[in-house]
Amino acid sequence: MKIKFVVLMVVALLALGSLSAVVAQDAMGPYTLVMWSQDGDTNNAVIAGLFEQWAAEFAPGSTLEIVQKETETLRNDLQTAGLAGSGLPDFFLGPNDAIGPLSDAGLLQPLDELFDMSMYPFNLGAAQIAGVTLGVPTNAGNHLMLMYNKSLVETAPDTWADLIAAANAVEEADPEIQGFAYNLNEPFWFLPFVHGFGGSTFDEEGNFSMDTEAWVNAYQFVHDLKFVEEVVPAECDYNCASDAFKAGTTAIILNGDWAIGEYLDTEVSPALGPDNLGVAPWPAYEDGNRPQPFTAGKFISIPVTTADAQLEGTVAFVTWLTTDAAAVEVHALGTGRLPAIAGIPVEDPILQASQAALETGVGMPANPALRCMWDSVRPNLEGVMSDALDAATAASESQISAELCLEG
Amino acid sequence: MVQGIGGLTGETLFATLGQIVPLIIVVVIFILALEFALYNLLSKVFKLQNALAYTLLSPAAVAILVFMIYPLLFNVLLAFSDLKRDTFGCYSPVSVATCQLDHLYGLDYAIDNFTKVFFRIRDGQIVDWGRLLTTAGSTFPALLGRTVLWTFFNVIFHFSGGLALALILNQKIRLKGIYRSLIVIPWALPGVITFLTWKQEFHAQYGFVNILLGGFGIAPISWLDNPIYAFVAIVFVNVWLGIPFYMVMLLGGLQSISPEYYEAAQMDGAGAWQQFRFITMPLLRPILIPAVTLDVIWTFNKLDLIVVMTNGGPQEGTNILVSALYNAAFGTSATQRLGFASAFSIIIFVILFIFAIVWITTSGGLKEIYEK
Repeated sequence: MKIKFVVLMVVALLALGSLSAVVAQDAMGPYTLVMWSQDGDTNNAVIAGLFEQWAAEFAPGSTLEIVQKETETLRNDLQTAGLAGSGLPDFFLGPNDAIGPLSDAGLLQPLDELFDMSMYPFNLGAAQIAGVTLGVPTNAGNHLMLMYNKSLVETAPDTWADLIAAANAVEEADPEIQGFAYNLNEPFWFLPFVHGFGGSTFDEEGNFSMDTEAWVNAYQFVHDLKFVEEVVPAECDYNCASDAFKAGTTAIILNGDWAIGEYLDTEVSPALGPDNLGVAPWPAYEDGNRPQPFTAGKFISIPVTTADAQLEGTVAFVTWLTTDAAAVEVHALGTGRLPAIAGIPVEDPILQASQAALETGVGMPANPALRCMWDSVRPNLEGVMSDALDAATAASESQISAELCLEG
Repeated sequence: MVQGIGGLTGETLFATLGQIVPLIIVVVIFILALEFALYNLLSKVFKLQNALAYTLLSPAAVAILVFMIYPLLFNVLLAFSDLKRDTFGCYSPVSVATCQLDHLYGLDYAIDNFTKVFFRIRDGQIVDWGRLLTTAGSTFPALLGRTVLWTFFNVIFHFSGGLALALILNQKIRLKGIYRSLIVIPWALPGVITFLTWKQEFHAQYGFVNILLGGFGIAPISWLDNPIYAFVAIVFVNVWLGIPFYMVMLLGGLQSISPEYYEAAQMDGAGAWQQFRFITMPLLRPILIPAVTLDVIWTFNKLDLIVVMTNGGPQEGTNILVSALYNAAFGTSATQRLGFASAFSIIIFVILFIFAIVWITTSGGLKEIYEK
């Protein structure tokens, strides 16, 4: 009896001990975290909702302040705060091309020891510099693809000739509707054309390789879309294309996976929604090759100033956000994006089409020198798109100014 | 609990006010206490005769010191540095990047920064004009030329438009007050709002300007897609924005001219042009010279309009010196050449300073003030 009692007591004590250990492991915080996000408000609201769910379960009383910043503002503000030595957020979400400059500036924490990197099999390379991981992917993609309004264009055009014909047909049927539009002067939209002609930013030795036939062909092709085929508007930026597409006054656009979420939402995009939104890879050139968009994803990075409890809370939340299957389904699939972890089935036909478009893409390196390419292409692309610069000069000038940019 | 997602909601607004209002109250109480202590110190300890005047001036003096003198000196210090993205590790207190520099500030950096504003150096030799941005047209002489052109057109049109309106409104016309209020509206509106509105109005497809031109049978113009048209567009908007300033200033001046001068001139047989030339213009001079000086400085430094409407594009063709400076330091380029940009800003400052000295001295606009 006595022995039984002692055994029972020991078992009870062990059970209590392990329970308290579990409680100690699960109940964390509370944390007060600040996140800077380059994502749109719709997607940030999803992260906000997921944080509430995570906090209720694992760290009651925790708060997350999300501050939305545009791509360039995010990078500039991080650099400025880094220079001042204070004011950096606990973590930030953005595209991988900010990682290069911020890594150069020594403002990012290596994440290899903080996260289980084997969980992210698809696009981790886009956030690695010299083998060090500086960002954890929240999704795979960030790629541009063809999007069309099925009520205006029944099937996705497979070639550029098909696209031009379809766009012209739409405009003939209703002159108030623009057949095709995209962000004409933005280099991110131009690079897929270069890749489709077999070009790239760097050669095999890592030097700029922009004064090539592929670049000239790409400049000429976008020029001809505007001035020969006259299939794009005289002027069009991101909002012009996206807003008109949402309103149903543009039939076909080129846009990224980040926009799928709002295009599926009929409150935001009354002319679209699941019934009318069509997604496909870029149309093929005459030779059968397709423009290849840059692919990477969105990544969460942690500044060097995040430490102690802040770091603990950040790592715990980000790990959960990016690896918990249910959270990934809500955050990635729920906002129309593709998961960055394995084992999440993609069943939605629109996301399957997005995945097909992703597979045609080219991985975007986190090479800091890429910024010099973006900066050098912009004014030359503007010149080509205003018919003030010929394609060969634009390619040659892009090369020169990218090299000068590297010289500093 | 999530505190906000960037958008300005009522909840965010009240939360922000809740934080700011008590802070303002504390700051005001703190300043009053300091002022009181300073007054007592100056009047009772140092027994100064003008203690109250010094006390009342001190907040402004501190503000000028903190918000003008210190940034100016810091800017000069930065011009003596090699601060750019690649060297952040050396200057940032939190960076973990390895510092490759053997010193942080020095005359060698200043010489390099100031030289690069004008020239491109390779292996210690000047090889070309320096590119302040990315295009071949972004050299210092090209940007200075465009800035002078920009300033010239703006000031000429500001002055002539403002003077014409002031002369009209100085006449006995009905509903003068309403016209005056309407004309001042561009000046009263927040700049960013008017710039964004005008940007849309110059849109090739949907803009009011092309719709208006279409009414005269003129084909649509891609205003913001072509460097020359874009330059015309920004000059137009800045002229529209600047005319009310001159109108208000000159109207005040015109109203202060005694009618007796004109009556005497009329008796002597002077015509309208002679009255304007020999009475109006000379008597407007004390107002005109400071107004033109200010306008030249403001226009030369007009950054916000250009950044919002064109950001210096297309093809960097609407950049003036200050917008090129802004883009070199904080623009889309990730290089953040802050040392170079500081040197560049000092050169702009020197240009304006020399202009102001020469203009004010030669025009004699402030002569009366000095003589008093």
